[in-house]
Amino acid sequence: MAGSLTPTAHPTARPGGAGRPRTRLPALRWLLLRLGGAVFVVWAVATVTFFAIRLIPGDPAEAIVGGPGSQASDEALAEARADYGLDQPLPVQYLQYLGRLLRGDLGRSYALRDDVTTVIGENVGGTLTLAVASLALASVIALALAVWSARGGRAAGAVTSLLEIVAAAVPHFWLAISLILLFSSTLGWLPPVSVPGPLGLVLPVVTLALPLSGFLGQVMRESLLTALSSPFVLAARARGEGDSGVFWRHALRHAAIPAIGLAGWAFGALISGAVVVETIFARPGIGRSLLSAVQGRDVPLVTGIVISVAIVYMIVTTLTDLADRLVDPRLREEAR
Amino acid sequence: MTLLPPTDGLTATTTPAASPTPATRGGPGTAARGRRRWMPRPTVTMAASATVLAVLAIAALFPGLVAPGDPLAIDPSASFQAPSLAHPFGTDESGRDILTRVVHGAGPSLLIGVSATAIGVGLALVFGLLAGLGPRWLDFGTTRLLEVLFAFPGLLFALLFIVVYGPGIVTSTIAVGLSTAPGYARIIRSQVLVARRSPYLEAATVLGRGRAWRITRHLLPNVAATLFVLVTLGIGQSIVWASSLSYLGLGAAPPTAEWGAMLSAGRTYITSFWWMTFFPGLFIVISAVATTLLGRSIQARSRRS
Amino acid sequence: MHRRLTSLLATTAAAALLVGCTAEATPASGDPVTGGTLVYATGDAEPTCLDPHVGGNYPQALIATQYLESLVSKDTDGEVIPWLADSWQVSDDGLSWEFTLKEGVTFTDGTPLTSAAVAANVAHVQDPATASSTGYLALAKVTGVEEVDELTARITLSSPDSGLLDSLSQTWLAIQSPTALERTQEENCEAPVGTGPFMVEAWDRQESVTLSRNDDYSSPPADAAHTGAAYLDGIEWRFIPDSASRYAALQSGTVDVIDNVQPDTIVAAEDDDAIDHIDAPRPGASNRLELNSSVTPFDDILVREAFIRSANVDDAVSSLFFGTAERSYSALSSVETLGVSDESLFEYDPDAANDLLDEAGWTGRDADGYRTKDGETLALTFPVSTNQSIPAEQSLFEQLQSTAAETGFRVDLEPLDLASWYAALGENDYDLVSAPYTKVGADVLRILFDTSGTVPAPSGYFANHAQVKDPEVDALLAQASATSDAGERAELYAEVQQRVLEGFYILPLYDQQNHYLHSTDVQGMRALPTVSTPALYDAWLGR
Repeated sequence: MAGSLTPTAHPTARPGGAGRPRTRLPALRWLLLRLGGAVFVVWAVATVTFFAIRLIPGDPAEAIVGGPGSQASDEALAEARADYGLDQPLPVQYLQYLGRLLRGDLGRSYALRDDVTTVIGENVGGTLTLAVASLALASVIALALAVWSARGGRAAGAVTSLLEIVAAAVPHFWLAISLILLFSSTLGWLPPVSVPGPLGLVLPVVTLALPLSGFLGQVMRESLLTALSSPFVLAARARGEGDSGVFWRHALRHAAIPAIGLAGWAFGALISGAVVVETIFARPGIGRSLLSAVQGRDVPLVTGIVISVAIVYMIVTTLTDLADRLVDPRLREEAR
Repeated sequence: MTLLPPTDGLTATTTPAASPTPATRGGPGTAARGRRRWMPRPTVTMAASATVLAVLAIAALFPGLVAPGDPLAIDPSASFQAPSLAHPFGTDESGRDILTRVVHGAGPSLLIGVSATAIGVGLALVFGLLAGLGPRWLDFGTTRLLEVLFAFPGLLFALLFIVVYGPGIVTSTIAVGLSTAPGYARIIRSQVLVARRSPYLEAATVLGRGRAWRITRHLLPNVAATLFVLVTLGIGQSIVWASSLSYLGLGAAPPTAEWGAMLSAGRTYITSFWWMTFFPGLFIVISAVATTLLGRSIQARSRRS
Repeated sequence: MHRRLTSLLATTAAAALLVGCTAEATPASGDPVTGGTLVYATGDAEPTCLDPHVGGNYPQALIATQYLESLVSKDTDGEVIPWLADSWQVSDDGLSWEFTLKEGVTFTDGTPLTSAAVAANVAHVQDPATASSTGYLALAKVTGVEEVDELTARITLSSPDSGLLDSLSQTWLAIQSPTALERTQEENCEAPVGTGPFMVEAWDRQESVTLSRNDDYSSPPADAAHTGAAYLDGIEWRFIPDSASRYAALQSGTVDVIDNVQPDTIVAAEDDDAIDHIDAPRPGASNRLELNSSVTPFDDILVREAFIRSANVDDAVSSLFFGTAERSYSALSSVETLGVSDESLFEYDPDAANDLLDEAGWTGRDADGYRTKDGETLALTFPVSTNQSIPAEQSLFEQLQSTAAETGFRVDLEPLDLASWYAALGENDYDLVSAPYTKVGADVLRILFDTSGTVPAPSGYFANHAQVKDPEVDALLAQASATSDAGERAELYAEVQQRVLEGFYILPLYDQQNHYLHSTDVQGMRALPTVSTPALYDAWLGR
């Protein structure tokens, strides 16, 4: 999402746009190009994963009949291979896999003996809740920091800048365990592992949100300051609008644009973080499924999760681009 | 853990300046940027972070000077000692002095950060130049490839890579490097595109200068400023990220005195012996913060000039 | 029966006192209270199938103990006692065993427990489609089951198996409803049906398994403290992989019982009046290093002895385990009554180690001070399974690495995930390895040290990692397995162990550690003397 941070750099790094500056792109054509690009990306991700995972040492059939170290008989292994079509030549397997993919069938998990779509369906809710809550909290913190640094003068600027950089430099697991030690073991305020209800969500969300807010904060403050010194703010002032009116009505709205553009990236970062956070806080979710699937060589589950993540990622970026175009009219009207 | 962000955090700050680019000097964006109240005076920040980094570098290059002990010397009778005068950072489960290990760990840990970043930025430079300078189809292809890589969340990519090639310090370094490359490549590509359309390069083209000349004399110096910032921001994040891989049991092999591995080894003892994870963690954060601050202050200065 | 009960209660109480709950915060004793849901948090991997016939690992046994039951059990003295079978009789030739089942027992789906159920279960374990490994191996000599009458099942063998009762006491061979076994494997994995005090209600993947009380329960093992249904309304069985989070959850009262407790946590919990500790070492083999005798340098017994003499295990164990684990000098777990221990063979003696290496010809030294012979460095590859070795054990290996280096051994520790670890073993790419093996009874010696154990299964798995290929050992093991005389059996197994220990094939460390911490609110919990899994039938909540 690098390119979407600023309007100027926009069209150059836009997926779906051909990459060169171009003149006027009608909305429909833009959308079709975007969708085409998205389908391509999903296909490529599926293909790369399919072949990469076959480089993993070890017999997939073993993963099916009870994981590494199983003492399964030859018959059991052969049966497993036949069941999962592993006895077919690789190109045939690949085509079958693509065919299933087109029908929305991600195959069956070796280890969980269940359809991958079912497994993902059961786990996606937990991760999405975590991700959305973390993104919301991170945005609030980042916005607060940005506003404070913009209005609080030089010292506030220095402090927030340092806070953001430190927050962005803290490893998730270190933060998670420190929070557990402080709020669960010592103070006893919050449950250290996931429990039903919002209370169990607090520590995991804070763990994911803090480092993210460091990054978002840096971006937001930058654009807020840029906006504050931009001609339209000066114009508003000249029209006699009050300081805070200008700040809240114009500058802040402007500052939100790059943050929206970061959503795609933030999504990826949250999924990565979820692997660690879900493991520590014992929360069911996609991240934890992925880690165990990778460790257990559960090929269909790994590919299924990777593809789903790619699809969601493409949806998020397309939506944010769309939002950009709506929020920032210049993208529609002017071509660089 | 979140390695891509620095690049994006960076774009936020560089690209606005970069579209008129530091090199085009005095483009339309620069005037507004002169009045950054929020940025601590670059000289102070720069000096402070450079000092910290210098100390870390000395520790990395000459660990014996800073901490003469043996980082691997075990002493079961002195295990799990809390910080004291004899052991300022305490001792670990085998009675090894944690201060000594942290100092001797600076080398491998910073090396992971530097190498991973070098791999990421190096690949990104190739991709970015290909995309920015090559024919249209090459740009199209490279951009699509980057998009595909982007659709793999960073950690996921690293996990896959490590499962295929086995865990260890080398594979986790490469994994971190590879998974950061697309982020850097995008930034470099947009820099190249901007520089390519800049008046002076057009002038050089008009003057009939060869392609190689244009790349080495104009483009690279232009991109180099960005690269330097990318590298400083990336090193800290690479260390943080590699430590997360270590936490998942995919990093350096014991008993290497590497910060991520030390964190990973100490994590089960965290409830009883906090110092085993606190100090290596602290140094990861310190080095990440120092490199980031340095990168940002350089960036701010180049923008101002 | 009554006397047995009281003595059992007395031992439990004594054990509780030993464990160190000196200052009880809550009034502990009193009459059991019915009701309440106990939350159990396991640090073991989440099973992929709740039916322990499929595959057959420890995480499955942990949970299956709550809803499945075996034909026989064992008491704390190691004696086989009745469970689903009231009595049993072996034929003179040792080739057929008759089990008489308890009367009036029904599975939780209403199917009655009959000899046909026993036959169906043996067939299920032996069916390749089930992909059973632990249970399958244990039934290797079983040729079939005859239904003598409704409650009498006759198990026939190809050759006598003195370890059959031990094998049958394991949860991996627990008896399930034959009606339920006819379902697809998916369904049976999701919710196996047994005769146990609890039944599987729901399985929320990655989160928990919900178990509810079996109100019609009527088949407790002979050493249980009460009869009738369990006290608890149910159990919430949670999966919390991170050890720090798990302990924090116990401290905060989010969960009531945790397993896989780290040594430092056990010590920390001793200071906590609200937490009790149960130490239940697993049966079968002790935790030990196996020295691969099939390749250089460990094909030379002098080098094997030199390594063992160069390793300072005692200091490492005492510093890393805080007294929670006792040093072992045996191939078998301390709970195995037939174990032979010989401390003299494993004393730390660097001088002797140096002499042995000199004698073996490893006299050169390389730049780093490691010994060499014909230009070859004395290097040992040591793949470490990060899934199977707890962190304290991994640190222990680091310390052994360090002390062995003083004698000139270079030990290369390679932490690997489970799949890569098995792959390294399968390719014979190791000199040292530590692999736990849990099995009830001394018959585990056959699995670990018989020559046939060096031949990999189709999947590449084998258990004789020391690669002991000693015809004498094989013969002794075969005799021990065939004899029906308990005294002779003990002697034969002792002889096997002595040969293995004196051959310096293994370096015993300590029992396979298995610790539970529970809130003092939980009363009456114990570990089953068979595979040391938690038994919650007698447990109740005193809060």
